[in-house]
Amino acid sequence: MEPEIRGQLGAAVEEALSRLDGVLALKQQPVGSAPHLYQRDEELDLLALEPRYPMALVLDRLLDSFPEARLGVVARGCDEWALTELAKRHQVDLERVEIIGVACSHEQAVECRCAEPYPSTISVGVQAEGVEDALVAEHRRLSLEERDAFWSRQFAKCVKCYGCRNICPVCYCPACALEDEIWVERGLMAPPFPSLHLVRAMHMVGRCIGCKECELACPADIPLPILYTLMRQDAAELWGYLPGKSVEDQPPLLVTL
Amino acid sequence: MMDAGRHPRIELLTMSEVTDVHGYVGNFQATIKSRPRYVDPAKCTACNACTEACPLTAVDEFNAGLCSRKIAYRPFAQAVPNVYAIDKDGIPPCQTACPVEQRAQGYIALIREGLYEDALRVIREDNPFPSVCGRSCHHPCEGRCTRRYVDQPVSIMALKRFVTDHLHDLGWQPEVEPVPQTQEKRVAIIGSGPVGLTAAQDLVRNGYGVTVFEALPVAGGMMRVGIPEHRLPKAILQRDIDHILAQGVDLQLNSPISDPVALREQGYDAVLLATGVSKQTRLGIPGENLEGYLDGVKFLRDVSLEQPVEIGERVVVVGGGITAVDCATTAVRLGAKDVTLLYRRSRGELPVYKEDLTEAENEGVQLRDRTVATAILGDENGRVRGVEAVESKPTGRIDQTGARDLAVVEGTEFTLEADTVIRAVGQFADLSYLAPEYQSLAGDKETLQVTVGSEPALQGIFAHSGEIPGSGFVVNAIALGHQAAENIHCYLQGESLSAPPKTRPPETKWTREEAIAKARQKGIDSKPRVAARALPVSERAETFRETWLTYTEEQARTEAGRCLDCASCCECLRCVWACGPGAIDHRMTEQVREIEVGAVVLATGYELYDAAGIPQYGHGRYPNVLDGLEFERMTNVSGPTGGKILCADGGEPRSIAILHCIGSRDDNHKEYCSRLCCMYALKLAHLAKDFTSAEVYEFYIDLRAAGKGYEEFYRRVQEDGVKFIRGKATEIEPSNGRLLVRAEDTLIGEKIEVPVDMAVLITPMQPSAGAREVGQLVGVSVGKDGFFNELHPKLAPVNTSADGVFLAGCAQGVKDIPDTVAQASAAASKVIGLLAQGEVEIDPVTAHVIDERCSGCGECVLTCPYSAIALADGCAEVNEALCKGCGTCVGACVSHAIDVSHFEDEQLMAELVGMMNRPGELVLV
Amino acid sequence: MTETFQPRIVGFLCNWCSYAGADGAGIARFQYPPNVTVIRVMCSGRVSPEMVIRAFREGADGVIVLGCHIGDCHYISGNHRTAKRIPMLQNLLGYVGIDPRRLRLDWVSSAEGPKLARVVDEFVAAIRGLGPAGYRALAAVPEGALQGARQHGA
Repeated sequence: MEPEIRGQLGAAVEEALSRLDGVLALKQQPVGSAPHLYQRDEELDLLALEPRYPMALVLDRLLDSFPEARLGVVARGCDEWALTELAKRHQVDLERVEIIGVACSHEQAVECRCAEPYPSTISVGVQAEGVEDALVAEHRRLSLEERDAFWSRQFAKCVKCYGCRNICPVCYCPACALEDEIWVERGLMAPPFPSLHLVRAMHMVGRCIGCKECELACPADIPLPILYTLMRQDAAELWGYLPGKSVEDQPPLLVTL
Repeated sequence: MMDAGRHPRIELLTMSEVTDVHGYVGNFQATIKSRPRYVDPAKCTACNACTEACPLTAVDEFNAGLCSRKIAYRPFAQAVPNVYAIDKDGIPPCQTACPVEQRAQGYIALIREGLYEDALRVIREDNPFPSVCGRSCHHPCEGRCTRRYVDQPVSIMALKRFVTDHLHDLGWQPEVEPVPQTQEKRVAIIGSGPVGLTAAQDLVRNGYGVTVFEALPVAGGMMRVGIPEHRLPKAILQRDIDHILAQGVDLQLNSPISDPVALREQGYDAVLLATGVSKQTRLGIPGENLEGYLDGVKFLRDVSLEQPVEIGERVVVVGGGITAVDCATTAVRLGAKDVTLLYRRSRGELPVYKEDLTEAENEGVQLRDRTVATAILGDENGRVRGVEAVESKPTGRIDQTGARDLAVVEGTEFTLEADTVIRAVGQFADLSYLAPEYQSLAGDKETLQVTVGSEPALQGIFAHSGEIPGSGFVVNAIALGHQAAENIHCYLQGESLSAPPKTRPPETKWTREEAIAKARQKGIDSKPRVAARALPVSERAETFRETWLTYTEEQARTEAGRCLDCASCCECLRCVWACGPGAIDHRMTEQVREIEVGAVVLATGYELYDAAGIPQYGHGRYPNVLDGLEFERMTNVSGPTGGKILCADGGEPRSIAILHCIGSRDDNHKEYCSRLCCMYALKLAHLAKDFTSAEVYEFYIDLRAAGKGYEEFYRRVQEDGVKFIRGKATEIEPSNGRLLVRAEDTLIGEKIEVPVDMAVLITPMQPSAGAREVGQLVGVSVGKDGFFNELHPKLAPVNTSADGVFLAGCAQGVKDIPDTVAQASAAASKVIGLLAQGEVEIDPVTAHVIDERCSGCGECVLTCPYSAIALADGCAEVNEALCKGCGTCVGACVSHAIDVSHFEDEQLMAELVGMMNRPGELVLV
Repeated sequence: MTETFQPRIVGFLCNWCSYAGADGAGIARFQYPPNVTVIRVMCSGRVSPEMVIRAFREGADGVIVLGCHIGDCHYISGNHRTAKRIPMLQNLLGYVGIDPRRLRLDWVSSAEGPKLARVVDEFVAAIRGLGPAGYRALAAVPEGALQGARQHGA
């Protein structure tokens, strides 16, 4: 982390801590870093911004654990959008949350194939150019047969670890359709029809904010975000709906034409 | 209808619409908005006096637009309730613009009708000085007149003057009886200007004893001594004053008052200080003490009172308002040769009417605008010898008062020689006539109650607050007089003076486009207002004859005819005067209320498909092409022709064609068969045969006479001699003054042309406009043709998918009267069955939440078309009384935490798996 | 003729319009292919993506969803959700390489028996053209894996 960014981050967290009950941010560990709830008067030397971590997911749990607390969170653009989607669905109360927005660098945007690598308000870092997802664009050019070949191969790798769901910041259901035999075949690895992935992709319409945590988490390297991004683009084009932008925007599949 | 109207347990809400319905079967709350009818149903005796009195007409919808009716009306003789109504589209802008809310549209309508006495009467209702306001008013009404969008506003002020002058010229004397004093209390009013006399009249009308004290030997205040004779002749002002005094106001001339409190002690229960704005601002420049430098207000007063006034030949007037122009034109009439008006701003900013300024210039007054007087110059004898002035220009800034800031232009200084300089630059309240202890006396802005400095309120003493913008305008002063009288009345009755403002209908608002379209629709051509005539300039010098002449009767009626009647009802008040029981109230407003009901019946009926939408038959273009309803009205003795079937030229038709299925059974219009039209067309043919000796043709596709006694009637009409041609008429064309009906006679397989004098188009019934919206209020959808969907076409024809909502009549589909009555009875018995039970059964197909799976995300709440789901404690909850069981929520819930009984996921998928795993070949269903 | 591919098609029909339309087609004796297995739902809005996916998983070669015309929904606007959800699922099928023509959405009113027959006719012909979906592949599936499905069917 550049000293300038580190300075901005430290100052923002310290300032927020003076008003809030705690601030969720990454903390360096002997190896790598992990989410940590900073409290007042705590050393801020080990504040970290890497690697990516689904902060919204962690914050959701913290808010449930401390029902009276007002918490800050150091959030990238995707973390902020995830919080918006969670708030829209009554999972978090944004009145109790203060977002310390972090802009990602262009390099980070390239790594995430992210078109908008910054939150609505930037407290740390400088707004950088995003990139179009070349994999998605390429996928649109494939023929039906090529897509079939591609995804049959991908889905065949799936070991049904549910990692994609577990890491997803906008998955919050106490019971999951993917575990219901009525919707998803049980006892079959790579069934003839990819029920699991189709059901999950439909659930992502109006929800997926494109953080690509699922892709990182997948032990089989299945590029699921390609599907979700295609669907997100379709929803934006058809109904002008962009997940994560405003709590007021209603998920398109739920409302009238 | 009469029975329903009279039934003690049926409340008929006419002129009302349901704007919202919530709740569920057995427990609905309906919000109802009722438009005012301006007639109290409890008092109206349906005597028709208001209709006879009403000067305005509108298209008579009941007679299919074939004739007109009055604006105060009853739709038809058997109307239920048997109560009249008035068509009012709000309050016209001319009335709301006026400080005294003068009913301008009313008196204009009466002038147009030649009802001059009533016109003056309605003017006097709000304004005791019609002669004055017909001459010297800043007439804000004209600035807001809707006609301005078409060409020019109606010349409202000139019309008001016409009425007063014309009646006077005819020698008409209003019969004025003194109002008997019914209240013990007495009021003293100081000052006989427009405020004082207006308040005096109002209070006398309320039964108080009123004495007006005037310091001068004449009454009228600034109207008498501030407006010169050539703009407002004294004799004419006196007519208005006499009218007020005749009602019982006691006027004491030459009676200056210096102590208002003493008046209270003399037994007056309230005192109004109504001495107005008579003191002038000084210019604040050197030389204001010179001889020959005059105060404009005093100058005009002295001239009016025929006091000796000396002016020289060269007169300079400094100022730019009405008073300044009056001073200049008075100076001309007193013999000044050279009169100059110095005005510091530009000509366009001069606050007088263009015509008045032009006439002043015609008389020789020279305007020097953008000129500021910097000093009055005197000679060695202390007499005025000139004015030093300099040109000005705007700085582009706005000063503290909101006016444009000015700066002098360096190097433009000049001197104007003059013998007399008159200043006329703004007036304010003058309290110098009062004793010294009352000099700081001022009334409260709202209540007009007086306080002196920090002293507590002086009980019973009223005055205006000293600075009232625009109080120099007569009509504003009259408004202030009304306000004072109202407050004094409240005070004397011991009521609160700060009562909430009275409600009234909203202002009529037309856009420019609407105004132009309405004018075109009414056939009004654009034409400018009738210009008032002015006295020739040669006849003005050295006389004080009135500059502006009044309209002739013809001019006035032409000008009054320019009014667009933009508010429909003009509030001429003739209906109010005519109404014996006093049922009419033009200040009624829209009422909204909520009622609780257990069930709802949708009976929104039908309207006729507009035949003008099918151009080949020429309805609306050819006068003798009628639709069925128009023809039927003609056969009614109370209809537009008194029960005669007549062509547009007044003659009886020799032949009549009746064209079936115009717009029905037609893919381009209505696909459905309108079902009862065949019998309706037969009835019309029968009537035509009965009323005329005409040949009658029926052009039909096929005749549908299915119903009890219908075939028999068909046969009877055949026996009447009606000619039946099987084949739909394709078009109508005018030919030699008649109509040529073209059709294919499918029985002989030939194209035919039948010349007739009259053609009747039988158009289909269609759902009433707005039925769909009404359905949405209660969750009932409409089908392809716009009729409400019944729950089941065979088994539940009066129920709807919304529990507790039933259908009756043509709202559900086209039907004739017997079917309508049958269905209405069915709906009624359904309602009775429902309500008599006291509890409701609901369909078992409803949604339910599986709590342990629910995340409380609220997506089901958002997606439910019936708002039947709510979140409670982080979990969804279904109101089974509202849920209709559609399962849209189940289709949307990602965690499958909601399911719908009898159509559960498990059940449907079991069905699916069972079907898909059938052994062997497919079985034919 | 026996060799002609007989597609297996699942139809989800709303109770008020399309199911009544099918009824109407029957009463009016309109002929249409018997390949469609009809599942009646109260509203087309009841059809979740999971239900369509399950139909394919069970070996359907095509799935057709029929509802009331927009504006005529018996449940005011339930079908608005269908009108968004099903096209989105069609897109998804296309993205993973399943021919989206295997899923069809259409509107059939209770008065449109003939239309119902025509739509079904067209759809069966289209699926016949596309050939078997081939997802069932029962032989390739271990016996125990079907246990669940059979239980549901029981």
